[in-house]
Amino acid sequence: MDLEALNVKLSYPLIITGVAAALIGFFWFVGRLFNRSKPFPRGLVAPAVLILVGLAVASAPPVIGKLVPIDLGPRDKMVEGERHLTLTGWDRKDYAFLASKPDTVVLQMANTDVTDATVALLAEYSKLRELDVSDSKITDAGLETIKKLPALTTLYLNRTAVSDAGVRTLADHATLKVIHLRGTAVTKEAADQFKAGKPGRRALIDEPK
Amino acid sequence: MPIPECPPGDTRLAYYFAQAVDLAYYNDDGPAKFRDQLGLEAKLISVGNTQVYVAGDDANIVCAFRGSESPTSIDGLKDWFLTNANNLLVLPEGRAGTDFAAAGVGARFHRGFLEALESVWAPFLAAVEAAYTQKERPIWICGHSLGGALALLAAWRLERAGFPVHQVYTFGAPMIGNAAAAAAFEKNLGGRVFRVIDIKDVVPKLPTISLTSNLYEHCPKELTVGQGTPAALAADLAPGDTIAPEAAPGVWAAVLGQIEAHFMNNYLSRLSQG
Repeated sequence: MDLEALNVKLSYPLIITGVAAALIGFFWFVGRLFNRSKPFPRGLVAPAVLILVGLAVASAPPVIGKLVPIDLGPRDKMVEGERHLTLTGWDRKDYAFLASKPDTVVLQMANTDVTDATVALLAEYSKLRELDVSDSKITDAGLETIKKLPALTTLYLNRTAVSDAGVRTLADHATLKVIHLRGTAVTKEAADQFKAGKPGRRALIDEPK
Repeated sequence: MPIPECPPGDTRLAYYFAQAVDLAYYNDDGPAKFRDQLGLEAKLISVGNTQVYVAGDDANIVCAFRGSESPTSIDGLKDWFLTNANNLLVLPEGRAGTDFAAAGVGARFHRGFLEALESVWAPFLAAVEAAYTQKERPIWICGHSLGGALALLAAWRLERAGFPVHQVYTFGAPMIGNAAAAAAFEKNLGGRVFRVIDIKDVVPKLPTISLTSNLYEHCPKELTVGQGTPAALAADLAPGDTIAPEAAPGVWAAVLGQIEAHFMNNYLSRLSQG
């Protein structure tokens, strides 16, 4: 487990323990102020230390959270038994490993260096339900690969160069339900045509200006 | 009164949604007030400490999130200590984690707001889906304070769930995530999110007093209501280098004014003046 995840996981116990220790230290300190059976300033040292340690423990999670660098590698998570893979905004360039993850159910890679060739790596993705290639260099040619994905229900193409003709090639897809087309040149007519193809379909498109 | 037909971000629209988020603070008599004042049939969804009205008429769907309640009540204390103060920046687990990671693997969000939204998410999504399936209409989302933060996060998740978000209006909302998150929200929701703030309201500057806070950043467009500039406000708060005894009541009034600036009544009166 990486340090950030560990910090998040331990944050509640640390904050609760720290605050509790600081509170106990506070009451101990006040008690010592009024009951001077111990010699005066020296008797206050132990409760003061407890307060400081408590505050340090309670503030550790946010401080660590700020110091630990954020991992910009691929985010590969199993969610209810399904592989959800996110590469959007990552700091790597090599997409070749995608060919070895054909069990992926959700793939998010809204990056400008994704091309039709990257999408071609997904040919064997028989379980892929959601694909986000917004902001990528995908064209209508890439949609030829995408339309053969047998389980696809949701496709994100925001701010790409796909056209009305490309969207029409998706019309007969058996499972595709939602297409995101914001920031594209796709017309309302083409979007409506897709929606009319099967009941329950939706297309997200910008309002005409 | 129906939703006014005017350009996105117009003051008249902001005033309409200011009324909606004000009504979101009501419980039992909320639906009647939504009907009387805004002509909307509204349903309150309340799970744990999060409340949202899903309302609609023939032409629109309006979702209004309730903000933090006064810390003088148990619910208010929970809002402030379990939600607002819980400001570690995280990506959540589960399906919500996938949806928010779509903003980028480096995006991080306010944990308290994420948990507050998660508690109400399933019934909220079901209500929006039912309304939208019945008839496709523009979906408007709004909220005040904590509710404004939830409105933004909900807009993101609704869009990821395939429901087009028409416009979002937040009033005195705090920041919800780090710079990567704000940039992604700007890219995807920019031009549709209107963040109404009063220059005197301090909450939109939150969370800046926490240890993690300088990592937070605001997302999209800001509409300022009320007069004044940051410099004038600073002069109100500290006239001269030191505070003379006779100026002290004025300083205290300025501080109270900043707190009052956050209340929905202030936003309503500012916006009603046009």
